Parts: sequence; C-alpha cells; structure tokens
Amino acid sequence: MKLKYRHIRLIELFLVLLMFGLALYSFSKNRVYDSMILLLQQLSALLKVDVDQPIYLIIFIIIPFLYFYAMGREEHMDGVYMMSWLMHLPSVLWYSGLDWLKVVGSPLNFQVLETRLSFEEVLLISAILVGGRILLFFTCQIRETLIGLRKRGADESDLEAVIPGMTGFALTLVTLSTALALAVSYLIAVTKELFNPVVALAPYPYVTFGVACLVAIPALVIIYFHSKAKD
Amino acid sequence: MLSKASSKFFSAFLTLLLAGAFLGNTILIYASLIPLFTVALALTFSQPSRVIVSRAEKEMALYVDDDAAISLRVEIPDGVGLVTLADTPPKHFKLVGGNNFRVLWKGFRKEIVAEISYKVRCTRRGVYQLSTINWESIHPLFLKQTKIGSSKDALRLIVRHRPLAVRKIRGIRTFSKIPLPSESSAKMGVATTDFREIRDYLPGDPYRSINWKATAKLVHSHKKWLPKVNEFEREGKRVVWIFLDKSAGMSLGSTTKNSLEYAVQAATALTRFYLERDCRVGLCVYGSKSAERIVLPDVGNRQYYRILKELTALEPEDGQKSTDSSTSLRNAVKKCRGHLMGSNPLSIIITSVSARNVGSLVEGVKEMRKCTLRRSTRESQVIVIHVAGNHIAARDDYEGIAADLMELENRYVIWKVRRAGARVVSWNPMRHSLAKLLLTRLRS
Repeated sequence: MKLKYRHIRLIELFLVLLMFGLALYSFSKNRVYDSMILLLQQLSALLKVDVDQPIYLIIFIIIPFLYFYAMGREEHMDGVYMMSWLMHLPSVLWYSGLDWLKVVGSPLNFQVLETRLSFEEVLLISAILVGGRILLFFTCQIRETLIGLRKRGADESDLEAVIPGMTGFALTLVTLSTALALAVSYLIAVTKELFNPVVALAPYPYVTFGVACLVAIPALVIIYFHSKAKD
Repeated sequence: MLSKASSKFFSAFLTLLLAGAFLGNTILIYASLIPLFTVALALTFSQPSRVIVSRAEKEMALYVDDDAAISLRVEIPDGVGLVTLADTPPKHFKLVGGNNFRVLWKGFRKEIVAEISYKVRCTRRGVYQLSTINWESIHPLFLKQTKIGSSKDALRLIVRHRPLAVRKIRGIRTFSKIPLPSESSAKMGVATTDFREIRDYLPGDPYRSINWKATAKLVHSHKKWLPKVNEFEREGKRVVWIFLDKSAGMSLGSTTKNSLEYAVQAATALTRFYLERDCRVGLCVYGSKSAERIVLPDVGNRQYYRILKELTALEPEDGQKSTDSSTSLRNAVKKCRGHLMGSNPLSIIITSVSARNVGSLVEGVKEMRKCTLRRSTRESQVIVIHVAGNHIAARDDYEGIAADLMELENRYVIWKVRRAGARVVSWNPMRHSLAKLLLTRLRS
C-alpha cells in the first residue's frame, strides 16, 4: 500500500483524538473535574439555563484540539500536547511523593487532585501522551520535508515510495521507546524490594541517590550526544 | 553533527526528569525516558554516508532538438534514510521525460542499487559537460544534520546542427546553379595518378612530365617542335572558403535561435555539400576580438569533422556591436591571403548584412576579388549569405512585419555589397530552408 500525504494527516488526526480522549478520560476521573461540573451546575442554576454540562465541556475542550490539528504546523502540535497535559496533570500530581504546597503550609495541596485512576493507568496515559507528541513531531517533520521535496520538483511516485519508510520507521521507534520506558518502570517496581535494603544503608538515601542520579543521568546523556555528534 | 531536533528531545527529557525529581513523581521520571530512548535508538542508525553514482555513457553525439536519454546507476551501500539526487543539465537543455531530481528511500536492506534515467532535449549547438551529481542524505528522523555530497562522473554531450540534405538537381528546368559545377578542376594541388590528357608544354611544367614518345610521334607527323606533357588529375577539384561572421551583431534573437545559430547551420550544410563533391573546403571565423579561427582547406571526412568541431564550439561574441578594424572581414581575408591566392577559390561569406557592417563587408569582398583569377567573368566567385536576423528575432506577426520593413530598408546596403562584386543571397530561416534557398535563389 502506498501512503500519501493525506494518510499522514489521518495518522495525525488519530493521534490528536487519542491524546484528547485519554486526557479527557484522565481529567474526568479527577476530583477537579467533579468540582468543575458542580460549579457549572450551580452557575447554570443561577442563570436558569438547563444545559448538559459534560457535553459542553467536551465541545469546549475539543475545539482548540481541532484548531491546532487544522493549523497543522509543528508549533501547533505543542498546543495539543500542552492542553492534554493540562487535563492530565492533576492525576499525575496526585502520585507525587513531595507535596510542596503542604510543605509550605498552604491550605490547598495535592490532596484536592485526587484521582480514581490507578498508578499504572496514569503512567500509561502519560507515556502515550509523551509518545504521541514525539510521533506528531516526526509526522510534521516528514510532511514539511515532503512539501520541500515536492517544491524542488520530486516525482509524486518517489515521494509515495518514501512516505511508508519514514512513517514506519518513526512509528516503530516511538512505540519501541514507549514500550521500553514502560518496561523499565515495571522492572523497577519488581526489583524495588531487592534494592531497598541497600538504599537504606546510605545516610539520607533519597538525597544521596536522588542527587547522584540527577547528576549522572544528564551527564551520561550529554556524553552520549557528544559521541554521536562526532560521527 | 546532531540537528536541532536532538537538542529538543534532550530538553524534553531533562524537563520531565527535573520536574519528576522536584515533585518526587516517578510517573514523570518514567515518562522522561521516552524522549531519551527515542533519541538513543534513533542515533544508533546513521543516514547513508556514501552514495556512488555512475553514468551509463561517457560521451554522446546529438543533433540540435534531439532527445538525449541520460542514465545513472545509483548505489547506496550503507545507512538508513532519505537520499536525494540531482543531476543538473547545462542551460539550453530542456527536460522532456523522467526527472533529474530523484528521491530514494534506503531502508534496512544491506544495499540498494537503482537505475535512474531521464530525457533532455538539446536546444542549442555546443559541447556540454555533465559532471557533478549532487546528493544529500537525510536522517530518517531528522536527528542528524543532512549530509551533502557530490559524485563526479563526466558525460560529454556534443550537440551539432542536423546536416541539411542539399542535393544538386540535374533536371533541365530545375538545374541549380549552386556554384561549382562538377566539371571544374583545381589548378593547384597534388597531382594524382589518374591520367587526364596529353597537352602542349607550358613554361613551368616539370621536365619529367614530358611525354617523349608522344612528342617524337607528333614532331614526326605534324612537324611541330613543342614537346607534349602528361597531365594528371589534381587532388581536389576546387577550393571553397567559408567566412563565418561571429560578431556581436550575429546574436540577434534568443540564445537558442539567433543569427549565429542559423549561420552555423548554413556553414555546416555547405561544408558537407562541397566536401561530398571532392572540393577542398576551408573555414575562417571572423568577428571576434581574439584572433580569427582558420581551418585550412582540405578534403574528406576528416576535414568535415574538423570544421564541425570548430563550429560546434562557437559562441557569439559579447559586447558592443561596434566594428573594430582588427575583427573585420578584410583583416580575415588578409590573413588567409596566402591560401587564397592562386587557388581561385569560391568564397562564401555568411553574415547578417546591415548598415553597421556594410563598410567592412565591402572592403572584405574587394580584397577577396583580388584573389580571384576570373575577375573578368560575369559569374562572381564571392557569395554573401545574408541571414535575416530581424526575422529571427521577431516574436509575433507584427514584429514579423516590422522585420520585413527593416529588410526593405536594408536593400540599399545589400545593393552596395552587390556593387562591390559579390552575389548576395538573403536567407530568412523562418520562411525558407537552406536547401530550398540554395536550389532556387542561387540561380538568379
């Protein structure tokens, strides 16, 4: 099957709708959503307007998503990503180990962001959102490259032969990366019990290991990038 | 080198990692691994580092307006990614089939070999070189900077004018007076072994050519005392000189269709015509600021290709349309004088006659006539082929009418050239083919 430009746009539409759906699902399982619906109900009662709040909320949220998709440029995909995370972030924050608002003694803390989703569900949605954003970045790049090549006089048949290769490569790689990240999270959860006694031996284990990891991981990544840059 | 996209992914990873560490949120930390793994995996694949391109042909000889099929063999031995190839044809070439810009996808296969071909139409005479094939190699996920390279494999394209089939018609009513009847013979030249006649001795004849037996027989019978000599056929029958004007005035028209192009076409056709009739044909290209290009008269196919080579490489002169004495026809004739004298040549001047160059042309014609032995005969040995440049430059019917008017204005100028002793043949390439012109107009 030969993929065409419009097929890439369809893949993008699917990704945007998937991100929207998952973010909305995550949001709907959060206490913030319940509070918002309650607020809207009170507001409609005050204005004496009989409306179905969830439907209006969905329409209100999906419009920017579709707008960003229609604009189609790489920077617009940032908008899709931001809005998805805006809806999903309350659920993610609920699983934070450090509640800084509580630490500073604020009456409003992460407890208000309670979610009915499990840790695994939130992790999966987060992974799909990040993976989706990366895939959207690649599809935009592919589209821009194709437009550039077409302007330079490339044959349509050549481009049709190139699109499946590039799209397939990007799709495979992002899926693999997401799967790897989830596998790492699973492995850590499984091996956590094994490492706990070792970690407990260190003074202030969270600080010691946390800082060490925070320094080591970016440093190793920078070294890796440099080595690749020299290739 | 890594591209901007790589740093974007690194920023995404760092942001999520730091946010996760700050909030003690393992979900964000795990999520940060996705951009990291994506980049790490993508960077293990490199785009193709080498693209080997070779051409199927090394040299092609074509005629103007012919299509040339150019084939390339592309070999991509390593890497994964997008490869673009661009073979740039020289200017004056028109793409008529296929594409000279191709895009290829190199997947995970070990090596790909592709055959690429396209067709170009050569719209102008000349010698062209296609040498560099530019390629660029793009990373499949745009995480490394695009590699740009070029492959050198030269293809030489020699584009000539299609030879015109000028035939001499021998019908009574259609008898063409293209100068040089086949019976004419050269006075000079190397004697061949073909016996021609026995004639009376003339002062200057070598003694070894005296036929003693015939002399003795004639003296005995006719009581004549003049010795008889053997006459042999000379190599070549007659000398034809073609003088081609390449001054700036000949560039009237477009780059592909201008006076010089048609003049070259005429010169090629005449060269072929006369060489086929065993004439010795010479060429002199004048009108350039540099020295005149002269090909001395000779016979045969080698001479044809020698002249063709000279004509193919000809470019119109740039600059102002001024007549410089050093570039004039007279000067060119003077340079060829040594070869013109004694051979009684037929001189054909191919130019665009105008008020601007008429003075120089008249002087040149006069100089040529000095080298002609039969000055007293009515038949002129100097022919001027006047290429009507205004008609070539005309883009529509109105401009065609304007060109007609300008040609009418030119009549006085042409009359001046005729008075100097040359036969002027006006040629409008837009209306008449050269063959038709030679078969009809030259009779007058």
